[in-house]
Amino acid sequence: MSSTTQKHRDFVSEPMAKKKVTALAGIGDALGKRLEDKGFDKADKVLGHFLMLGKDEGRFKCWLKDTCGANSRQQDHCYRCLREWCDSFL
Amino acid sequence: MPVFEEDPAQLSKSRLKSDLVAHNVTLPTEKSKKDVYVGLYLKHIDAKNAADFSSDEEDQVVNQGHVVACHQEDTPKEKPSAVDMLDVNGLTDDELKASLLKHGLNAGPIVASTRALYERRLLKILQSNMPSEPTVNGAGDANAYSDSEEEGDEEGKDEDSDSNDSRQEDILTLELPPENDKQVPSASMSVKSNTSSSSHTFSITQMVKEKEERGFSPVPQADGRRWSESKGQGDWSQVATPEQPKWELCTPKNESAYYTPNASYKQTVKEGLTVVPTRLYPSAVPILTGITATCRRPIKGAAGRPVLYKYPDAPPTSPMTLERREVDARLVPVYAQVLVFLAIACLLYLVYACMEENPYHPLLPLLDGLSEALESQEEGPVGLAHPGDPADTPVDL
Repeated sequence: MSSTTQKHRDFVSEPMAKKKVTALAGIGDALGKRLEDKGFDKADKVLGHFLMLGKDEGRFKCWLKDTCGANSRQQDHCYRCLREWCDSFL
Repeated sequence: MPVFEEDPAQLSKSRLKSDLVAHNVTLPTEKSKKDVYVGLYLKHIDAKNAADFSSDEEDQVVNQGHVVACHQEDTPKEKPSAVDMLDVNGLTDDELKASLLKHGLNAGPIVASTRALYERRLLKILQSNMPSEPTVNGAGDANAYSDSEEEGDEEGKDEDSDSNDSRQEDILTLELPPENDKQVPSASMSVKSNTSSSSHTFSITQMVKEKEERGFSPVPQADGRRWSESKGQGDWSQVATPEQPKWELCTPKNESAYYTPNASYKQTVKEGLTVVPTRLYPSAVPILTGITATCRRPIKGAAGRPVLYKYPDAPPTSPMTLERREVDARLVPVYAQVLVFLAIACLLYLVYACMEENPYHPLLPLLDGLSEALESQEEGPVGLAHPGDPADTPVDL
């Protein structure tokens, strides 16, 4: 199992509340800005979309790539972060 | 003038109005639809043109034109809706979002599932704009919307700023020859938008003149503005500038009232009531202000005023005195405490003295006497027999 980043651990450790999109693992400033422009200004909106896609890895990663241009590593981080959060809190 | 060649239906409403006015045709009510204007236009203007030329052809043309106009009148209204449908579907997510934002709807992310929802919303907004053509209250607004609908929708979602400016100017030019007061306030309403100051002053002078006829004074005020109530229109040009806070207008039937949101007082102009600023005309009727001042109640007991006991308790008691009383009620009284103290002190002293074996103690005889008394009490009944009184000789008989 690959090690998790600090950001991942921080995100997964508590309910996301009103965290910004940039709090997601793999989403930095640039990607965060692009997501915000599309209307996903909070992490919970991305979560919503993730759930709507049925928590499907392929679909979510594809969507993320289309929306903000994330590379595969960033997609992976984001996906795992959200997945683990859902496992913990949903 | 190529009036004859242009199709009246293609002219904007404002243009139709201006042409009608130019031909001395009475304008219909502000809320009437464009086809009314077109009809009037055709009736009067084309009739005039027809009078100059041969009648038959012109009648036919007029009829055709009228028919064409009517026909074309219908389609422009249908067209925007059809165009809207296409437009809305053809928009990308970003464009859809932008257009929603333009109409004041802050949309969330537009995704596959949400897109349909937002498309429907946008359509609703667009369709709600259209029927507002004839039925909006303010004359200026009605004109504004109708014009924008005819001009804006067919051109797509272009910015309305250009059409805004042109339409505002049109409003001013058209409505300034006022027939009733409604148009005058509406002209002043259009003051809200940035219009040229000359036409601005003209409208205001119009209003002032009409006000003076009725004996009212217009009431917009702000800090540092000057009034030209009786002085005339001289100051008005300096008074109302576009950057001043916006004026709200209330238009009852015949009068118009001006409210400034920042003003400290409201002024309503009613029939028979003259409103005058007290600053300039202190002797005049006082303004209905929102400020009320009541005479201050005299302070009791101050400056020689007698203190009248309004309250049932005789002396006003402070919380401290009340507390003290409460505390005092529970405690043992002081004198009792002192007595108890003394008694205990004496007892202790006696005990101490007994313990001490001091021959020179002044109280020693007393103590001895006490102890003797105690002893004598014990031997009392027996001891009485012993000390024989010599005077009392036992009588042996």
